[in-house]
Amino acid sequence: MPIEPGVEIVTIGVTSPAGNSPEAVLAAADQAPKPAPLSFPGREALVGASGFSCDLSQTRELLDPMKTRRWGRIQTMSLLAAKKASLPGALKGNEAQTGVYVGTGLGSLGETAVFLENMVRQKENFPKPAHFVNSVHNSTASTLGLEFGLKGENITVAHREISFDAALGHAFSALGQGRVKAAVVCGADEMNYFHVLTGLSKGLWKKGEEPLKPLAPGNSPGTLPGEGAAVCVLAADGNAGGESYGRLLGVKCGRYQRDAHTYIHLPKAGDFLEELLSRAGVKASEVDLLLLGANGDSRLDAVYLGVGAELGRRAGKDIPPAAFKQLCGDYRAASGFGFALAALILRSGRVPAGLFGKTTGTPGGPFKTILLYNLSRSGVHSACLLRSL
Amino acid sequence: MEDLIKEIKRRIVENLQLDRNPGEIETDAPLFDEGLGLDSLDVLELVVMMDRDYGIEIVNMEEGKKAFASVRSIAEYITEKKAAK
Amino acid sequence: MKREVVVTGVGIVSAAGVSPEETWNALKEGRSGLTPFSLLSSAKYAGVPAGQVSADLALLSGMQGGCRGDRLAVAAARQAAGGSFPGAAPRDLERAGVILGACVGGMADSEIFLQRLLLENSMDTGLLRFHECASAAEAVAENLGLFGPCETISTACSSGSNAICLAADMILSGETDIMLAGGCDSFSRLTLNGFGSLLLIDPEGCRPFDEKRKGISLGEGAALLVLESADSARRRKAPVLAKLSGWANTCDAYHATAPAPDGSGVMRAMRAALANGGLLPEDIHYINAHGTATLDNDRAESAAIREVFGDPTPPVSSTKRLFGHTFAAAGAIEAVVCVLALKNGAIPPNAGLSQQDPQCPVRIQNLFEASDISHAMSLSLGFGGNNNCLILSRDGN
Repeated sequence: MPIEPGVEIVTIGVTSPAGNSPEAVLAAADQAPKPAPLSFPGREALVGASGFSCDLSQTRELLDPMKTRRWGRIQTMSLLAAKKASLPGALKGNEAQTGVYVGTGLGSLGETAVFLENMVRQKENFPKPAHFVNSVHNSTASTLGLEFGLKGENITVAHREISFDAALGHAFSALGQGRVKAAVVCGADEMNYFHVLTGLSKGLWKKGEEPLKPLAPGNSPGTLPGEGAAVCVLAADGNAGGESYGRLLGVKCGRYQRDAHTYIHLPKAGDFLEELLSRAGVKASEVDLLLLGANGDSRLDAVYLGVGAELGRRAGKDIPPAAFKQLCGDYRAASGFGFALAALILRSGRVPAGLFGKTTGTPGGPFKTILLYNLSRSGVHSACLLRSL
Repeated sequence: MEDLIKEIKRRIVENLQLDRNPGEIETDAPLFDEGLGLDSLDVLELVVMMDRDYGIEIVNMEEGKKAFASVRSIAEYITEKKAAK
Repeated sequence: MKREVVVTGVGIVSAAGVSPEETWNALKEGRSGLTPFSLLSSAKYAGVPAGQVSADLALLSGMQGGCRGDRLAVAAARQAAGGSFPGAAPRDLERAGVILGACVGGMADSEIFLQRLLLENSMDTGLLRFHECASAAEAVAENLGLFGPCETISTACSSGSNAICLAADMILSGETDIMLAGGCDSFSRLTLNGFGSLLLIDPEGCRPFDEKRKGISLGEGAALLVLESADSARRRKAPVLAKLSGWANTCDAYHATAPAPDGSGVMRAMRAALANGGLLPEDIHYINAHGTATLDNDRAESAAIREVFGDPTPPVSSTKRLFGHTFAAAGAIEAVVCVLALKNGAIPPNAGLSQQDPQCPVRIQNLFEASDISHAMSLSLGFGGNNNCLILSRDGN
């Protein structure tokens, strides 16, 4: 199997609870951000849970009100992130052959809820057509295409915690084959009243307002809800025009085998990661950092650390594990934020201490090769391999 | 008629989630294309508004587009339909 | 040698039939599977012609749990896989995967959850267990023991078609050798009321390309294909039903719901698919249109077909009168229709047509006709201007 060419990460943009710019995100990553009590205007004022929400106050300044009136929260977050990723400039005139790849786990929950609530209350009379149009999962991808005139492929993956990574994988393949000249990849999920309320009832959320501490000893069960949109522009090697963040060497998604004791069958998970690495011509011992989708739930920490240790065995060294959901909260497409963070790490050359969950004894660099790993309790997992230029 | 026109402007802003004051909408300006820039989805929302708020059922898009040409044409359409009842 | 993707199995469950054989019989007769809507309680849409599956899905799928969409998908998957890919090497099986198009997921139950919450202030979170549209692909993977890719594509009406193309891509890239690919969707009041609010539902049943057409009929169903590398099919001596010769996906970037009236996005998809397959327009012997029977769609699609293929166009039929518009399943159901047409050497008719709309200047196939077709094209156009085109060919072509 020939080694696949990588793609360049031309630019990134984020709308996140940690901030809406690389500087803000890196600064927050040195801290341990606290969640805030959640309230939903128009609903009960307080749902009784805390979480990580985005600040969308720049909407009026950066986006056209005649358009935003139509958009749900997820679309607004994504279009803001796209602006931050310097679209359309970053596309260098390739709009007609740019593909859009969006990963979203729950899609436009807000718009769906508005349509359905109205349907229930009005007994199917006087519906809200614009909200129905927005409620389809691919409304974000369509809006990105429409706003920037992107006429290549337009794909939306809606598959739990690997939604972003699977979308990224399709972009990677399309670029490698020359089906598109550039790719806009987005991972987005929105905070929603019903999602938080049902999570409360299912016992998903931690109580109180303590920061999330993924992978830390003494952690407790449960996580906290978050939201955000991360957008990146990818181009085939050599087409980026000089200023990119780093390279994406490969993406792999699949279904893991379970194990009664370790939850995931660790040797097979190790095989999964090694297949990704070997396709990219990278040895396990070259991986400098493991950026994990651990969400602060102690029950998952052991699983993530187990997979990391398995890879370390094959690498013949301990690979430092880090986590990112303490910055953005838990949401299906959060791995998009993790990806953006990894790109920032590659460009800046340093890993903020907060990602290791410690204040002292943090691993030194350099961090040139980063492996991202995410899993869903439903049985799927994903990995992405990034390298500095 | 003037009260109805005011009310229509208020309802349009509310139903179509426009980011402006009702008073800013010109009574005789075209609502679609060059004017306010409304589109086919807005026609559907206005069809619902007519049904829910004025009890007037518009059965097809052609009829809708004619009635919704401007705020004044909406007011006239409502007045005409109510008189016929 | 260039890797080829072949079709070695199909499964289909819809209002027109619960097997490929039943479906082909319905296609021969142009027999509509639309019946007065009764599956869910809806004051406004009761009785409207809809493609409802009346079969026992628990029996067909062997599943007690899951939502309706999951069962539709697993029922179709079991047909397609023929009992878990006989003859496949353990290593190939382990890497085999599934990509499904799905939009509705467990929404029919989620709606009830919401209704109870709003009107009775009660929370039955059990109703949300299968809410996510990812549930169906996972049910298929679990049922067939697949540990390769497992994904859900959700691009509205073109989801099923997109899923097939992306699965083929994974085979061509060498990530895997065997993929189940297709789509599924069941009814929900959201979908009915949503399309109804856009004034797109025809109270008399859809009549694609007819000058008096008034819109769509909704349907539910699932269809899956087994896509496989030609090498793997040879190794396990699997019968090859068809070849996936080419495909392409484009975006109109024109409007949130309306297709670009000149069909430009569709044209680009067709031309790119032809180029992808190394084929010329004259090689296409049958086009299965998206043909939802909305005024806009049929006109825009016809314009595009006419522009790419000239006059006369290849025979065109929309088969949505049989199945209804099954949303994420549609593109997959229609891919199966094309496979059956190639295998059986015949063109299915465009049911529901009395008088062709002169503004849809394509050669409509009115009757079922035996024909030695080598290449068939399937078009699926989704909300938001998503255009997917795939070309299936007779094996040996």
